Amino acid sequence: MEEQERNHIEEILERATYAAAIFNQYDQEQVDRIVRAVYKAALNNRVMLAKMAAEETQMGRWEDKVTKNAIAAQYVYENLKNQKTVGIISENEHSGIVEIAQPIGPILAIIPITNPTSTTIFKILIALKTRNPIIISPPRKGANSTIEAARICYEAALSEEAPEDCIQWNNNKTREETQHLMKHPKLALILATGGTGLVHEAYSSGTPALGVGAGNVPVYMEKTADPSFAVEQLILSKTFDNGTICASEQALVVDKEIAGKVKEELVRQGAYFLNPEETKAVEKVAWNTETKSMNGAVVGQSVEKIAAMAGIKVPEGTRLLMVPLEKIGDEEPLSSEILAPILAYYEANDFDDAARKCIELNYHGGIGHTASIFSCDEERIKKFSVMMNAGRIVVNMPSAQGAVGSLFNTLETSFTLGCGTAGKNITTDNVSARHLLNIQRVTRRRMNVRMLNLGFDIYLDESLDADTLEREYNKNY
Amino acid sequence: MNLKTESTDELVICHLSGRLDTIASLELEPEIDKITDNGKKMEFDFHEVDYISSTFLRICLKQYKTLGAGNFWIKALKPDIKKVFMIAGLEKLVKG
Repeated sequence: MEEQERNHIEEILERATYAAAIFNQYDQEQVDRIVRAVYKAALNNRVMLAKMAAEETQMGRWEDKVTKNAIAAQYVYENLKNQKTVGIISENEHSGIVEIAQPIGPILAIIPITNPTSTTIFKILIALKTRNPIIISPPRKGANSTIEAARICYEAALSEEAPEDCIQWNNNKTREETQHLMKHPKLALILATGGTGLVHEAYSSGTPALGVGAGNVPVYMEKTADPSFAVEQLILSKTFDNGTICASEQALVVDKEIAGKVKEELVRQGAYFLNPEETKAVEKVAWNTETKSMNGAVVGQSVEKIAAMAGIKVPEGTRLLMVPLEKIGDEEPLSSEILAPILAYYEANDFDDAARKCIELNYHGGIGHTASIFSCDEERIKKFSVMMNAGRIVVNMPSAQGAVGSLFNTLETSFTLGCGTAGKNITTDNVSARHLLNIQRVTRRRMNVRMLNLGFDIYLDESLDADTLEREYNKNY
Repeated sequence: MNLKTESTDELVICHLSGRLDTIASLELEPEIDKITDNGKKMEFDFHEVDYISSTFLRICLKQYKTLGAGNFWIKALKPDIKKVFMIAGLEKLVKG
């Protein structure tokens, strides 16, 4: 790496450290004023930023990117606005525990090309709410829109006297420069939303990181589901921003009792079932045989464009390409995650068969992420949920919008969805402001009565076994 | 004005007070620059300072760079302000 780049990184981190120091003096009221100004500026610019992102990345639909920006600004703000994030945040007289929230320090935010402006707005809001400076690392192909979103937020923050350099961005960087930034000792945390490679680099850097995992979301339509409603919700999710959200459905598994009705509804609502030849043609453009992953060229593209790329003809107005498959795994590339309006389709003989298929799909590149079910059978919903390895199991709702939170449920709104240890993450939570705080616990004397009654001398008697000690410990308690 | 000065042959002591926010800092900067020009050592007495902005932190750094280590220092910081300099990694600017 050039000396100039090294100096540039030093300067960014030095500025961020100074911003962190100044931020430490701010009280809750000042912080909330800053967050409010930033949210309003982002919301006011939602359309311009969406159009800019769609134009620059050539992915997704600008109209849906407007919705994403609105969610990242308004819904995130509504989640955050009443949260205590400064100083003493809770006092419990009974337990004698007082919790104090402290900022963690400079955060590096990796921004994905699929959601550049919305993720930027979201990460800036949660960082400022917790008095942490943030350094935005834009995706190469979405740098201008990402930086414009960051710039708008920064200006708004400064208008409410936020610390200088509380928001910075690192443009035109090389991969090596990003790696160097990740390892910098002054960096407190990496918020890594992006491809598996980048997330892995973040985790390997030695700096604490909150990352995401890859998704391969199965959606199960159980026989008690309402086909018309379920299909409507599924299409709403899978076609949203042309499928760029990693929590969108990747494979539909339908109980055969309702398969006929579901297929009918799918076709009626704009899906088109590919025949085997068409499937092969779509597979060719959607799958990269060298990297054994989805082809970037189809990510966030419309059905029309994908059909043209594959050289197939689909009825006018088609919104979703259905791919009937038998197998799951490497031998069937389209059973993997494809962030585009392409959906694998399976039929199941019964609940156990469906559950087996969903587990296989879940473990085929999507463990820890999200799973979806449509059903009116409470027992089956529970059984299915226990079997899935997913941070979020969304029930009777569109998976993409459901996983993001706040719209169809009470999950916290987030553009960084933790995938647990299965996804090589530390949490299955929807990452939010509370993950960006160091919580200090002040603990007051509250004596353990059983310890006082038992004392410690009893342990010196070697003849007393564990059962006796357990009995004595709980005696008269 | 949040500044009163006191001068000996070798040292200028700047007694600062209150909230050194962006506006106050921008007002103070030319005053401090003027004093710096006389070539004496400089001390910032912070015992009445309640808050410092990014702008004032920059002014402190500028003084340190202009006058050099040993010729500029900050004294008598309240604990909250001391913490600011510790987080910023600028303990070298603080004396006592």
